[in-house]
Amino acid sequence: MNWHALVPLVCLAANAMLLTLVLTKGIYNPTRRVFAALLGVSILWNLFIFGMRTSPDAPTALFWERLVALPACFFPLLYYHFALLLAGRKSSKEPILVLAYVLGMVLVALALTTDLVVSGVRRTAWAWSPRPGPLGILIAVSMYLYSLLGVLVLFRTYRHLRSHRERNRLAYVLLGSSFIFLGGLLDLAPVVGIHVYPGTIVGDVVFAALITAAILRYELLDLKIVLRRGIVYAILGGLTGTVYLLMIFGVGKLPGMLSGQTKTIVAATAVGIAAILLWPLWGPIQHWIDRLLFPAHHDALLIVDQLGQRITRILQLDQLASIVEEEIGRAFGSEGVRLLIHEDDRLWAPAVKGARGADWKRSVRDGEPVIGWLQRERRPLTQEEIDTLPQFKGLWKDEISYWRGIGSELLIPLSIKDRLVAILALGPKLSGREYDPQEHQLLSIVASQLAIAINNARLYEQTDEKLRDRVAELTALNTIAQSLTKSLELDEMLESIVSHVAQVMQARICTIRLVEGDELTIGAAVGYKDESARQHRIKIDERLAHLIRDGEPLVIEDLWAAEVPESRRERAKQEGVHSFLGVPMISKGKIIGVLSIYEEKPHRFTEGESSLLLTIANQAALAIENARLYERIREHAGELEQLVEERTKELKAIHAELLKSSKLAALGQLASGVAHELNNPLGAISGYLELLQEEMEFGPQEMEYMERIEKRIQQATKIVRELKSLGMPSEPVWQVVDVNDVLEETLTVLEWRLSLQQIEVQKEMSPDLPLMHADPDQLEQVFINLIANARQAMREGGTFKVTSRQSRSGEWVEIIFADTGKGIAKEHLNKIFDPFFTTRSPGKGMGLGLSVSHRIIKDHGGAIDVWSERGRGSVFRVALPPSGAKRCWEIRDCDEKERCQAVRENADYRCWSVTEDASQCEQCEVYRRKALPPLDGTLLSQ
Amino acid sequence: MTMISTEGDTRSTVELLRQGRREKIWHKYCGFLDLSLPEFMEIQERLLLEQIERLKGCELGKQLLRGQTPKSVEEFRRVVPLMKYEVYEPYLSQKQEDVLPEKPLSWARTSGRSGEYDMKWAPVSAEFYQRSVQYILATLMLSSSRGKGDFSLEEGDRILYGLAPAPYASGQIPYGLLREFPFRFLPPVEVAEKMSFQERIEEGFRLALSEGLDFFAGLSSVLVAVGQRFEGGLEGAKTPGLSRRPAVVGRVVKGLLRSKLERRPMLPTDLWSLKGIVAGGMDTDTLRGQVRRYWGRYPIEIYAATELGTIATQTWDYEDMTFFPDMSFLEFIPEEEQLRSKDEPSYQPSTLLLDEVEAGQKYEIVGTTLKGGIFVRYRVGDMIEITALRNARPEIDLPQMRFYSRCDDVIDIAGFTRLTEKLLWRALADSGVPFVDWAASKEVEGERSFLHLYIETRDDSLSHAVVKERLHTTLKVLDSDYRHLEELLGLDPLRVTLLSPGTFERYMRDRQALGADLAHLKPPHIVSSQEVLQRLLKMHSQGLAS
Repeated sequence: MNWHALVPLVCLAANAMLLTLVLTKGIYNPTRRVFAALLGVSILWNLFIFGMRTSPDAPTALFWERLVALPACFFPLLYYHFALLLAGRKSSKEPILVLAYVLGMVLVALALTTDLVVSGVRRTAWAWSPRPGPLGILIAVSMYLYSLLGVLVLFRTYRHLRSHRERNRLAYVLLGSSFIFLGGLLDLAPVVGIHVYPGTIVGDVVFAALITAAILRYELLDLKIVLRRGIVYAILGGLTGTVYLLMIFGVGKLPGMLSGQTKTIVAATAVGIAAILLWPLWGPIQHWIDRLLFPAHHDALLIVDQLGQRITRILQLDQLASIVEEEIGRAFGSEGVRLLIHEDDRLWAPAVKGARGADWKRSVRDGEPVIGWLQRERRPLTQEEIDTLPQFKGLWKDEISYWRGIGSELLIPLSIKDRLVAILALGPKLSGREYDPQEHQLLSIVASQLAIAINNARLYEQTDEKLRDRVAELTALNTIAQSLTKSLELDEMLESIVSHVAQVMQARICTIRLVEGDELTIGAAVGYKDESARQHRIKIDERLAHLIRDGEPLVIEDLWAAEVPESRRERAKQEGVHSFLGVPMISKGKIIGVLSIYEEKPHRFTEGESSLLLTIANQAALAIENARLYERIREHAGELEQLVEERTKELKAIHAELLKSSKLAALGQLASGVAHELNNPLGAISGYLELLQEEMEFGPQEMEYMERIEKRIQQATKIVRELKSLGMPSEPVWQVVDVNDVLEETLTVLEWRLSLQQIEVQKEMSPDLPLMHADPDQLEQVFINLIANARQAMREGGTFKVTSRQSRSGEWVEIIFADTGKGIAKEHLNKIFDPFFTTRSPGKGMGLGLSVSHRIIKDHGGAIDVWSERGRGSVFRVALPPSGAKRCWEIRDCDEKERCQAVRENADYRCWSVTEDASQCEQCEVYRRKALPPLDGTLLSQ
Repeated sequence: MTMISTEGDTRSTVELLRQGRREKIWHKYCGFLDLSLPEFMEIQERLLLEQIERLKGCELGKQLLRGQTPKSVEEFRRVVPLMKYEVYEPYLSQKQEDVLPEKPLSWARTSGRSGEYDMKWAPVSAEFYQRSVQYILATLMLSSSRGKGDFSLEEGDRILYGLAPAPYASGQIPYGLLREFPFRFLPPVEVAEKMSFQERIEEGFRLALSEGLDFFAGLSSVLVAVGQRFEGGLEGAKTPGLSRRPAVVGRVVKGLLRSKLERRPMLPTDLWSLKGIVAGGMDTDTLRGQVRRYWGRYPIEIYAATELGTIATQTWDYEDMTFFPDMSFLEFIPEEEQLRSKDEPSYQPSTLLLDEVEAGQKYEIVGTTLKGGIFVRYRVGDMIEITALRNARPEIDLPQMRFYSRCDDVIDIAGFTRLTEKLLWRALADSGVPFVDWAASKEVEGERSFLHLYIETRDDSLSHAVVKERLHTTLKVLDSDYRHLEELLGLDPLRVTLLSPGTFERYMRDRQALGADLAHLKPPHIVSSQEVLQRLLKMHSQGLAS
């Protein structure tokens, strides 16, 4: 047996192994079933070829050759059928295939039974070779036709495939098919008179192996990589081989100086050196092959390399994002690239500004599958995987919409250690193809560089932001501090604070709300559209209570969407504000209010903003406390001032009174002392005078003189008595008195004297006067004084009217003495009740009568006042409280305390009711008797 | 129901198929089988929180959530009580849409077998519907599968859909299936809509004769009935006009040849090589052997409820079922808690989550519909059994379940044994008594209760004693507690009444004439209503009289 016969045997074995493999993996789907049939036909083909090559003679060889017609006819049909199935087409719908099978059967029948297909065999260097019959060409044509059809179907499918994996799979099939074609060409060569080694069966093994790999393995090595490496190896190998051959040739040409063994060693060494020297060419050759054969990949590498160098120099995040998006899009031919920063629980695109930026911004919920997957797996994720993998079944509807809405086909995670820093979202390729594994790999390499660059930019930005925040904070604090020191007026200060805060924080509305019980009321506000909102009181709900109780800032990113009372949401909508930041105002460990700002757009307040507002709030709280303190001090000062004023007045009055009293007291004391001294001699004189009148007889003249002496002694006694009463006023002897009786009695005594002066006495006494508690003698004394004064004033005669009545308020009993005398000068009116004041000529009176009367009436709880007009007359009114009435006494000292059971503080008057037993006092309310109407001269004319 | 356009988005799955990207298709529909239990629970939890967000914005949702917005599963289970249909009845019976989280795509009807309601309505949101349809497709794929990643699906696959029509939930599926994949329904959906259930089945099989058949989705009993007809000689199977069509002729000839070679009557498996069979219903488990015999493959069982959607499915091993992760948030009431709540209606039983259940235990299933549904902690009234915590053969790391019984469909005899409908099905099947149909009830004589089986047999020659003996023996084999009733308590717990031939047929016609709902055309197998029983016996008497 020659080795040519072994070739089909080896191929048969290879095909058999592949068939076993396919059968083991299962042929329950039509594609595998047809491929299994294809392998079966190949096995038959190799078997028959083997039979033919080992045939001892021509007839035997012819027999086997006829059998070869079977696989020869059916192989291309099965190949076409297989191609249809691989392309996803239903074979039963292809009439051309049905026709092909029918034709195939016919040709096989003809081949087996006639010479039309194979007319004979002939001997070649390697084996028997068929001599084709008239229909042999038909078989050849049909082989090629259906093979070509199959290739066309595959190629068309390959062109339309988006999936890299599927394209790669088909590339293997197409590559395998090329081997079959090549081999087939060699087999057909004898037909046109070229005798070359038949290569189909060898090509068939390579074809079968490639297709088996293609349909059995899910992931295949990228054919491009295979080709790239293959070509590089081929070129390097070729170069090395060429050098070797040259070496061998050169060494062989050397004159026989070196032995054969030495020549071999020299040649081998030279080859080794050549290989080492050629090794550095790997890179350039690879680069040259990429440029020539895989330009897209080459360009992408170049761009990515340049990008990697460029991004290390950029620290502005938005600039970095723009450049990355542009360059990556250019490198990979992507329809839109977006860099999404993943920060805490949000995603946002720094390169997108304005309204469009909102499309890319999103909050990331806890445990969102896409983010979790990217963090965990750290490999690219396709939109298709999001749509199909079961791990993403937990996506919320809006999350699904987001990932679909951003139009990305591929998501590349950019991570540093275990932290997902950003996501590179690549849109579909402009070519319509999928991103292949090589591109995935390249993107992953870029991703790690990008992640570092982004992290650096973020750190830089954060630092810069912190610095800026700090500067702004300090500036703001300084501005506000200055404004706070300008005024201590609370309202002015609050307005200043909110105004400055709104400016500094660039807030639409700023308010200070002060805690009042379980509500917050607005202390100051700026920015409200509806001014009536300033009047609004907020009940401290759970959220605010948390702020108030725990002193933690309250942040609401969007009032329109958050869980807040409906009324608050409505107000926010009316004002057109979304976000809210409120911080407590703390003074001396107590929260006195809330400083809050509102912004027009949904905004996530940073820690810096919260911290700044809190600092301002604390300053403001301190300032408010100071202002309040100032206000209290001012109030107290005012009160104090008023108090001082009042007390000063009182003091002055008391002083005056004291002076007066002390004067009076001193005078009284003096007068009393003098009177007391005078009393005795007067008494003696009077006694002796009486004795004289009894013992001796005097003439008329002497009797007259005696009478005058007696009169003067009486006068002096009276004066002494008055003086005594001034110093030592006698205690009233309280009785129930009808004042009309006292009046009548007094008038009875004095009426005749008045008539002597042609003074008409009119009496008008109310019969219904209430009784009163009074000392009748003292009252009489008062009435006598007043009547005497009236008589004195009417020396030429006149009218004297006495009226007794109850006042309109019923609280007084009035006794009015009106005379038509000469009247009292205005300048004297306020002195007439002073002791020793008199307008009479000396010797006509001491000026004590009215002062004593005033004291007596005061002791009775009453009042005495006067009206007078020069030339018209005078009206004296004595007002006394009736019995049982409350009396008001103006008490300046505490002597009366023992007489009262209780004393009310701060009362100007202590009152007690007058009872039958005047020693008993009952506390009563501070009673201010209604004031008497002022006197006028109408009583004169009545 | 709202007509859903059949010009849908079939491109995506079909395109994947054309591209040969079968693995993607597998992941999309059947990928849930590869989830780990923690992943499954994470999906459940996340979607529950989304559902809470949806519910809190609508009137009925606020009521169901007691005005709160639970932020976690624990809080949800603490705040929201378990509920039955009575909570929903005032709103859903009137089909009030304004109280729902979103306008439903359609309204699905379910039979009111609980006795309180003639029918119950359930709103179906668009997302919920789409997901249900996808899982039906998944089950079809699984029915044709021999292993993970394997399925046999081609454009234009012919499917005979033998489930209740719209407005029942099952009747709304075909439209969605057409959107998902370009099946060819026999008869076409638009035509089938206008037919009665029986007409649809008959026409479907008639068309299948000429056009072939790839999938069947429906009741196992229908398949068995067709198989029995074939076995019986195909009376009336010859349809005039069709027999001349070459396709029919070819199919029948092929079938006859096969049957002759195997020396048996021609069976449906000789005419059609179904890629897959999907079946539902209590009797699937019992009839699977017969289905295999007649149709050449076992049916895949799917478990669903109108209110909760598709809940679980068998896979290619035809054993236990795996839960779907994103149709309803699942909770399980342990059996003892369920029994207690049955005795004390006001008692709120505790529940377990899927990662807390134990193998070998029975639970009442509770579901909260996801994807915009309205049912919250809803007791659908079914008992299931967790058979294992994972299934090694198909490499599924999720708890496996079997349907046990309806909560109400259990006959308790002397407090000793509890006989389920499923058990009775098995007993009937194992007894070898050829029956048309049956019904069972618990009856009481004095202080003793017993099981009364009403059976219409096919074979009139079988005597009452024989039938009773066979059934009694089979029950003793199947249920040890039943056996102990006799052994320990000396009770004879079984009564059998052989119904006159045609009783169930007369019953159905009588109900049809009265305009009864499809679900009420036949008596339930476990009869708790005296009225139903009386009606059945009346039909039986009519048969005797004639």
